[in-house]
Amino acid sequence: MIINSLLMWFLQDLLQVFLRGWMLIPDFMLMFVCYKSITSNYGLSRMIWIAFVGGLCWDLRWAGILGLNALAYTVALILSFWFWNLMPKSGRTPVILTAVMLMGHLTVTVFRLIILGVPSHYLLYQVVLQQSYAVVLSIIFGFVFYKRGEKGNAPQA
Amino acid sequence: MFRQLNFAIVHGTIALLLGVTLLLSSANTNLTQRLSDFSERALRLPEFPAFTARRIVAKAVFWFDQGLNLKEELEVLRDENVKLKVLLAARQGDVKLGESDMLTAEITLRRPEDWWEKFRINKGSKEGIRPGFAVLNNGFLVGRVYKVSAHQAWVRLLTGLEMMVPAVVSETRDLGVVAGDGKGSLRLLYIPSESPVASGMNIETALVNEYLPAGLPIGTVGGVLEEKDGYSVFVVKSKAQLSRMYQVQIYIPSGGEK
Repeated sequence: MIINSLLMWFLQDLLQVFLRGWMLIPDFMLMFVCYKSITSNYGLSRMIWIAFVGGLCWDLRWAGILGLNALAYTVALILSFWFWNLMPKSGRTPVILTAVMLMGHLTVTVFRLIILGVPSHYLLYQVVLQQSYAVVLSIIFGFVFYKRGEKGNAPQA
Repeated sequence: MFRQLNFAIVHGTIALLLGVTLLLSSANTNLTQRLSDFSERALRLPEFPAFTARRIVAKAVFWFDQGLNLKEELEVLRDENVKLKVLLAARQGDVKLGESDMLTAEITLRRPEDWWEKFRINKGSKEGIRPGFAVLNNGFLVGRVYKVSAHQAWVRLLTGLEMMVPAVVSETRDLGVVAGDGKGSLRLLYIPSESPVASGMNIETALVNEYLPAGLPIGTVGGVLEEKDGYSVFVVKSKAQLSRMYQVQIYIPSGGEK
């Protein structure tokens, strides 16, 4: 899990380097960790620290404010896990998973906007675009969930 | 199950507290900046393929999508640059512009909370950059280098609250100071109210030192913002793309290079 998360972080970083100035990359790594935390039996405690360290590394590389993404990723992961486990087993459908994933990403976006504010209209436009890419990614995660037949296999809190 | 949940709650709480502590204690500290610079250096090698791919794609986009228009624009800018250099050389006998050079650098970090204050570029002392060098975008002054390491440097923006640059209105030779408001706008201060300075006139740097020579374009005069104690404050319209700046040019004066 740690290796996979590290690869996801690196993929996110490479894409951000490649597309810097053209678009903001959605938080792949966070979405991957959220997906794994709600669909696998890997311990939540470990997932929390994976999300925290991933966010901290992102802070160091891109944000320049330690703790911003570390905190946002942790909050998003906990919220996603909590919402997923609020659902009865029969309600844990791919559509709900998509919504939970998107909510996790939106949490991070809103958190960043609250802390950093909106420095320019152009950046706000980029943030909105980033969120729309996250919608596509959430749908893909939902589809993967559907294809793997993981409905109902998620661990209960 | 409950034990596992309690365990997760403890870990979650510790992570959240640690995150809040880091967030509150690290903003704008030198340590954060150093760690951030270090992470960029450490990842330079693994990120190299992405940088290379980006460069190739950017070139392809340049040549195939906008090639002709951009080439024409480049020619116009080149001509304008030559004219400016000639003009500067004529005005500043002591600044040998023929021996000066422009170095293009990419912006690698522009933090949202310091959006109008400063940014980091990917060129440093090894490339000949020194503190105090003028930084231009689109041919207009946008800031000055204030901190340099081997392969990167920090630039303080003209729009920030900490930067003030002596300036002259080209048409009337009135001297004033250009300063930022910290919100992305520029102002021309200390112009006497009776001065004939009017909207549309050109503003350029007045001589500060050899690193920031006279005659570098800053922008044009906009409307009067306020009049107080016999002096007017004017809005300055910069033609630099302050909100969409990905690259800047560093003015390297003669003798400034390594």
